Amino acid sequence: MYLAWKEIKYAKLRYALIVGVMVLVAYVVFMLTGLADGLADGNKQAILDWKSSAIVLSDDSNKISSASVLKRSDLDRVSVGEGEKTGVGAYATAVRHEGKSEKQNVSIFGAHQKSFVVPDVVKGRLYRNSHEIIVSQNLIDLGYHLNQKVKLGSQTKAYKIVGITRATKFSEVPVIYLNLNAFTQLKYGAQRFTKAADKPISMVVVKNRAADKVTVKNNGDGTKLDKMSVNTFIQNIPGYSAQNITLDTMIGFLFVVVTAIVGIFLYVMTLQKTVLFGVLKAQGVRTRYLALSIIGQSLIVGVIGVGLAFILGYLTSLVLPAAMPYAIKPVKWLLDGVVLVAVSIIGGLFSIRTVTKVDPVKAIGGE
Amino acid sequence: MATLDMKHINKKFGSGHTEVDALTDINFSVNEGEFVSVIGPSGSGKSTFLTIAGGLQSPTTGEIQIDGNNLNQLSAGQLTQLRFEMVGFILQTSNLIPFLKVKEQFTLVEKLSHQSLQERSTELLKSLDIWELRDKFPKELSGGERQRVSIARALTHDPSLILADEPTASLDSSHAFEVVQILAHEAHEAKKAIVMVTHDERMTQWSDAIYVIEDGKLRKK
Ligand SMILES: Nc1ncnc2c1ncn2[C@@H]1O[C@H](COP(=O)(O)OP(=O)(O)O)[C@@H](O)[C@H]1O
Ligand SMILES: [Mg+2]
Repeated sequence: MYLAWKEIKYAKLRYALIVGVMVLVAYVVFMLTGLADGLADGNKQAILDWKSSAIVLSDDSNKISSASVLKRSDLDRVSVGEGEKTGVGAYATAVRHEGKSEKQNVSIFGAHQKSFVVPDVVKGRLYRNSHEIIVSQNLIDLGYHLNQKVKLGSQTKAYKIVGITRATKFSEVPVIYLNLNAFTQLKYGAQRFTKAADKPISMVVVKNRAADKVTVKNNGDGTKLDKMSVNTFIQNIPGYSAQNITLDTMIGFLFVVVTAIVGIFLYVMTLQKTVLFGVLKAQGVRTRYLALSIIGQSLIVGVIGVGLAFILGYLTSLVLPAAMPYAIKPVKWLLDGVVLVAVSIIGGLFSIRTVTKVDPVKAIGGE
Repeated sequence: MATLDMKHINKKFGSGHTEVDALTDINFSVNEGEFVSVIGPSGSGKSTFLTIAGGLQSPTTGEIQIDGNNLNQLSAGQLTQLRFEMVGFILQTSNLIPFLKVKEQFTLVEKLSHQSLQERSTELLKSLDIWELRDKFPKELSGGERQRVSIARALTHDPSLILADEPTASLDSSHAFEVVQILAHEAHEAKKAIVMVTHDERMTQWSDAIYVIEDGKLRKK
């Protein structure tokens, strides 16, 4: 380490350059991670808010909530106690102020006001009838307010915002909750349902009971049901997996880039020092010591680069616009950092062979 | 017992019609307190001789002992250790580490040998008149100053054998004489066995013994 550190101090500019490159790549890794987590959160946050364990959809929905159609009576076909299951309607539409034409996409969930999926209201109150809705704080941030009348989708009727919940998202857009009748009206318009039991819902949400412990009755003429874990449900949110794979692949590619950059840099530095290494070997310095000092340098470059990028990434998060999906998960960043340092050490390993092959006899020959 | 003792050393490079006899039946020994010069033209086998004497490469046949250790019987690791403890190399161009200050060259030896050499290096720097240079990098020194630091560096951990390969080749004659005198002085005062190879006849005047090497054959002058 003595040699490693002294050389870095002596050739400040060169090592500053490689650390600079390391900072930039690590910074991009952190930004992509922040973005990936932000996007992932935006896709699924509302589902996580439910703290549920399993979800039941209609089998023909292909595990997509908005394509799933069930009846309220289907709740009885799910084998868990009354308090541990709830019928939820899911619908994606747009909201606009009364009188204004500018629209905002939202995710709508219909549920009984006492259902466990309905989040706590932090301001105002819960809906009491099918003309009232509660909205997430991030919709308020877009210029909506309590007691405002809004229009949903193509409906001509007005809904009143009576409560605000914590900011959350589903499919990257703010979330609105309303009751099951309002959901039915919104999604099925004028269509009449004679019995309440026939009224539609999109899914049955189960809590406290893992998917493999839940049974669904699939006999008779009813819609075929498909139970799944919350994680499976999330993985099947349209675009969710594809987006994650894309960003993760980019991050993975950057790890390879770091290995290459650090590897090439230290390799060039090593080639320039073969005569010196020869002299040191002649003087009885062990190859192991020389190899360790190269590994030490890759470690120093990695740690300083990642450290600076960490700070930079954090500062960036402070100035990013709120609309940008960006989330800092310390554990993920730590993991990124560890991998970055590890791959930079792997880069350093490429030079070991060269050091091993240096022949001290050549250094003595002195051409 | 001789510090360095070489018996019937032969060294061949290559094989078949590219075979070169670099060294032929060399017998050579140096005792402590002795300063020996080996003189020969370029390509005569001086460097090959010196690297074999220092255990950097092995002879094709023959036997070498340093302070009674038979090099043929040592493992690669033991040989490295022996080189570190008992042999000091001084090369034509300086063998200093470019990114270490003069005093740090000695710190490195300290770190590698896990012993305190502070006093000894201070003493060496002062006696070789390079104490004032201790905070300079090698590139800030003249050729003569660099060689003096190299000598001090080679002497730090008190090796019994010093091998110098044309240590004066890159110096003007007054500095060259100075360096050779230092080597002679160290051999006599510090009781080292020092072997210097050179192609310059004028450098041999302080030697206790002079050998001539020609086409790989060594004879006493
Ligand atoms: N590794 C080697 N392979 C083949 N020939 C070598 C090798 N090293 C030295 N020689 C040959 O051995 C002879 C002596 O070389 P060297 O010891 O370097 O001479 P000097 O140091 O006196 O100039 C030369 O003919 C040289 O070409
Ligand atoms: Mg030579």
